[in-house]
Amino acid sequence: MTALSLVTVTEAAQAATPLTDAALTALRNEGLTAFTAHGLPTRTHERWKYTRVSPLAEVSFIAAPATGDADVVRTAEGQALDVPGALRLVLVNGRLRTDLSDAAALTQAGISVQTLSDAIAADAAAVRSGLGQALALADNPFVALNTAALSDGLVIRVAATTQASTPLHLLWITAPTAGAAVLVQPRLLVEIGRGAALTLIESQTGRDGDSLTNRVSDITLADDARLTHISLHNDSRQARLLTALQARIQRGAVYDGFALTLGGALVRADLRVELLGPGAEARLNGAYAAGTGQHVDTTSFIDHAAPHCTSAQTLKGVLDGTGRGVFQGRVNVRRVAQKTDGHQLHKALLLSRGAEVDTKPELTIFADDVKCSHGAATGELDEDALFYLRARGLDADTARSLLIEGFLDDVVELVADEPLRDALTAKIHQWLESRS
Amino acid sequence: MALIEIRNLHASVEGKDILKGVDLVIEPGKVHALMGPNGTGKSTLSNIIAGRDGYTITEGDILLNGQSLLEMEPQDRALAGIFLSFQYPVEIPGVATSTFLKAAINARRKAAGDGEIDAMEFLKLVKAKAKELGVRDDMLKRPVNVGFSGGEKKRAEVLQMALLNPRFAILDETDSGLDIDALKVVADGVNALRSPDRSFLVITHYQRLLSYIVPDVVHVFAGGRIVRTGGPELAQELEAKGYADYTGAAA
Amino acid sequence: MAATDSTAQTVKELERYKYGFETNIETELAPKGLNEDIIRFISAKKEEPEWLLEWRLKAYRQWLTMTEPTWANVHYPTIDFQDAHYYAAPRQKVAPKSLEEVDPELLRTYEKLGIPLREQEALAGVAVDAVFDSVSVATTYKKRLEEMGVIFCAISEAVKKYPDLVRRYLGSVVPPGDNFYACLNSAVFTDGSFVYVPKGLRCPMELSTYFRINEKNTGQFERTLIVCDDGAYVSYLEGCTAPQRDENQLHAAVVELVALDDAEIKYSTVQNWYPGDAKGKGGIYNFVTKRAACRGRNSKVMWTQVETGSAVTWKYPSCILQGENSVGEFYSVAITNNRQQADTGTKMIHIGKNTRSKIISKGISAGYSDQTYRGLVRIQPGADGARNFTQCDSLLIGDQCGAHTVPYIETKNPTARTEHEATASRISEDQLFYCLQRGLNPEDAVGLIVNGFCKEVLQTLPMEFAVEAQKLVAISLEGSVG
Repeated sequence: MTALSLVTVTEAAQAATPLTDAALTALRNEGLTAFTAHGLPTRTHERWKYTRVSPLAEVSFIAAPATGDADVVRTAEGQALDVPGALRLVLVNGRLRTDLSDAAALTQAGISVQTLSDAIAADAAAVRSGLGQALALADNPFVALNTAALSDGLVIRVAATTQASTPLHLLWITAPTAGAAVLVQPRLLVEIGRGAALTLIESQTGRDGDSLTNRVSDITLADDARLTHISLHNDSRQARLLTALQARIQRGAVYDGFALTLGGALVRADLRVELLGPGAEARLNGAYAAGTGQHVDTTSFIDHAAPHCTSAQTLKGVLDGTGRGVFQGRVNVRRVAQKTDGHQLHKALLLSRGAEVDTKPELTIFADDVKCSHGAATGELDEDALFYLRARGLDADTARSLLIEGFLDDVVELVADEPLRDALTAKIHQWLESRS
Repeated sequence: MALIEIRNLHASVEGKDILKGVDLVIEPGKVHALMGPNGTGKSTLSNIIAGRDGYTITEGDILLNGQSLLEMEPQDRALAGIFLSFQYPVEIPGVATSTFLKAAINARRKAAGDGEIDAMEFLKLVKAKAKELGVRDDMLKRPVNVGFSGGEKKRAEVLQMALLNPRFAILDETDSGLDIDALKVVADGVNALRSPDRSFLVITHYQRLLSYIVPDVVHVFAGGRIVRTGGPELAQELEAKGYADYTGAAA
Repeated sequence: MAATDSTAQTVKELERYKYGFETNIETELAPKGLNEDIIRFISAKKEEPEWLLEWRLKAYRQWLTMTEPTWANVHYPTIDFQDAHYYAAPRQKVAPKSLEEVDPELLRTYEKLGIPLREQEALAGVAVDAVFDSVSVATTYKKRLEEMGVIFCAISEAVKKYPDLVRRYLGSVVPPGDNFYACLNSAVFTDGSFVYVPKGLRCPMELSTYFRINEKNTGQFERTLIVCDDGAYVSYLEGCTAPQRDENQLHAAVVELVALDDAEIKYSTVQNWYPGDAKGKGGIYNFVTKRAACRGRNSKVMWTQVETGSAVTWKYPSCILQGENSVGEFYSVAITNNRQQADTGTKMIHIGKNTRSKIISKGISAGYSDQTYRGLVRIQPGADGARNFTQCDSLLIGDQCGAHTVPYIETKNPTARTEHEATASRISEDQLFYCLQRGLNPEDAVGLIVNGFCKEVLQTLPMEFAVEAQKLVAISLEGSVG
């Protein structure tokens, strides 16, 4: 299916930000070619079976303007995670706003933070090599489209052995223009050097209005590196957010990810993690809640490409009103990946008629000495538990809220760091309050 | 000739030396006890005698009736008369205990050139032995060790031993997890099997079991080898003084 | 065989594929190829009524517009649908009226397969319909069943004798256009069994169909239809074998089950089509559509399958749970060894209130084989109180095989509950060592452990076949233990 306006806006973005580097220019063109050749995915694409994006073809998008008002931050702060002490970087419509960011975030020893265009200007080849290829352009139209637009975004590099003591908090703000649908396509590159460690927090927020944010992250963890990666998707109720993350994890490195999705009309997270060296580990946990008019899709692919690696994924979702949840998770164990430990669990709570959840956990295993499992469960609130709480004097609504909160908080427990946990549970609590 | 002879046995796991020169001679009909602090290689020794993979024998030999066992597969050692009562008997879901016993008995009969055991004969035999050991009939129908209590598992091990008539039986921490009543039943079962041509190696941490299965010889095992040998009185001494004297040897 | 023989002993005595022989019998063949004339030929051979010929032709025309499904995780060379005979039947001067008139060569064939057809020798309590290539050659205990009101006969016979029943239900569960292979089957199906159990009757005998592909370069396209009326019960078993040949042969069957109010159908399959040799040469392509409609309240359908044969399997016995309180169960053991490929599983479609489904799948992959469990559990908005439980376990034997689990779980009702669990691992070394320490050899130990792994499924088979299936499990894994 063709989506002319997406192509037009992207082409305009290319023209407005010409690149001098030949390889990156070629890559951009490759992205555009792939997107125009394949168009929007339809439901016959297995990975888009449960998520319809064809309505995007009907929308007339415009390029997101560089919005100036400092006011955007105030609105966004209410939506973002509140992690005291974190160094904040504000990106409005994909562009870094140093005037609104913590200056210290840009000057930490061993941690380099650059805008994507600055990074390209400084060393295009380094940027090129940091761009992942796990999500092939031909099979991932939105990654192709983002690649075609390559210019907005951020590059974070942590030098070998640097132990970042303060979390970095990226506050992504999508600020639509009144009366039009904006297209924002930032790219995030994160490279954690050998033995280095970083905590990265991302809050995706947005002001009311029609938008499509198509964000791609490329993450590289060198040997023994560690990244704690907390993401919140809490955009406005009309916002569409497509995120794709491709992570390469080398020997002994640990990617510890947690994503909480609460806001947005359409939120789709494509996660592709490659475990490339013995002892590499990935955790892809998360929670989501979707009410009427919301569609939340997590599609992940964890590729065990080396022996002795571990992956764990627990995702829990609450579906209310006509909300719809999708989880497609695949764990692939290659022939060489003996001694793999891979576990996956998805649990969904349906709170109302009209809610829907579609689950497809998938194991593809080509090595024999492995311990792999997945589980999936859907259901409503436990009647016995409800009754128990009511017998203790709670009214029905309070009892329900408590159980829902408990259901989601349970997975937040998997986040090791307490301030981060508190920040996440606070958001869940806020969502529950807004629900009643 | 000795039934079992272990000569200067050295073994390692993943490059780590566990056994550092074990010498042990057991005559037919004798019961030897192997006592010692935890984590000094007692279970390693029993696993190596039974032929478990994953150990590297760097030096020495194990002989059964003068024949080396080292090149033999575990099942061939079993058929030659080695029986290991496991410290942690493994669960095999879906395989009824009686089916398993029959398969094990028939493996022996086949090795001896005999035909398979008759169904009625088998049932009679198993039920009689099971009764002696306080193994309930319903346990025979349940899958091997699945859902058995600690005591039931150990009783089932002794039942297997009684049915398989080994020449040499190793009881690896058979007393762990048993209450006093279960301990007596198990010990009675073992004592009933004592005979002039059958030998035992009883591995235990505590003297308790040895009050019921009285050994002929007691060894103290520490630091990967036998550090002291004596009569039953040695067990009493260890009970009173503990292993403090020997933990140094382990270091 | 004496019951005292242990599985282990028996396994040794059996050849790897003891059903690989060929029967020399004069055969009447349709010319190779597929076109409307061939379909008319088949229909004429079967002396079918006009409506059925039209039904076939309509299906054929639809089939021409369809493409082969490619979503399954199986790989095989393109099938030339024109390069096969669509009708092959042992030449018999007159249709045999009783078993005494059946060609002795055919009776001997079934005897060799372990299925004696002479009633005095047959398994008591099991009635057998023997399908040889494209035709049913004999049905045992027919008289006795008829007296009780149970119809059990070849579907071609049912078309003539019970046209109303056949016309009412044929294609009502698997419509001709359902999928590529079902559509092909609708156009060219030759024989298969028809069962009707009248209201309130619990059929006291096991009904069984034994499918045999004998002729070279043929496909087998059987069609089975089982209808259980209100309160009726039947247990049905199918077995399948084929000679050992270097060429691949296509088997594209359709099985339709209809369970009305309070009816119960138990459908068991022991599928042992020739799997091809160790290098993957030859073997059957088993592309089968099996579906049950639980139309009535409290109806129940239970699928049990033991899949050890075929080069390529593509098969998803399913239940459409329409009736309130209806129950669908799927128990599966699939074993792939050497170069076999299997993509199999089930679909449970919950439509009615308080419908329940249970899926127990045990997959064992060995050698260079690849196996996929593919399942769908769908809870429709009206299925209040629906329940599903799914357990899929895969066992890998050797490091060159693959085991895959692809479940789809779609829930549109908040009062429904679904639970899915899957595991994949190899045989535990502790279990193996324990068995070896007790004197079992590695092959017997693996056979024992794998049978234990499959126990929950095997015990759902009718007793007469459970022992056979256990042996089959052990034989299928021969040569897979290093």
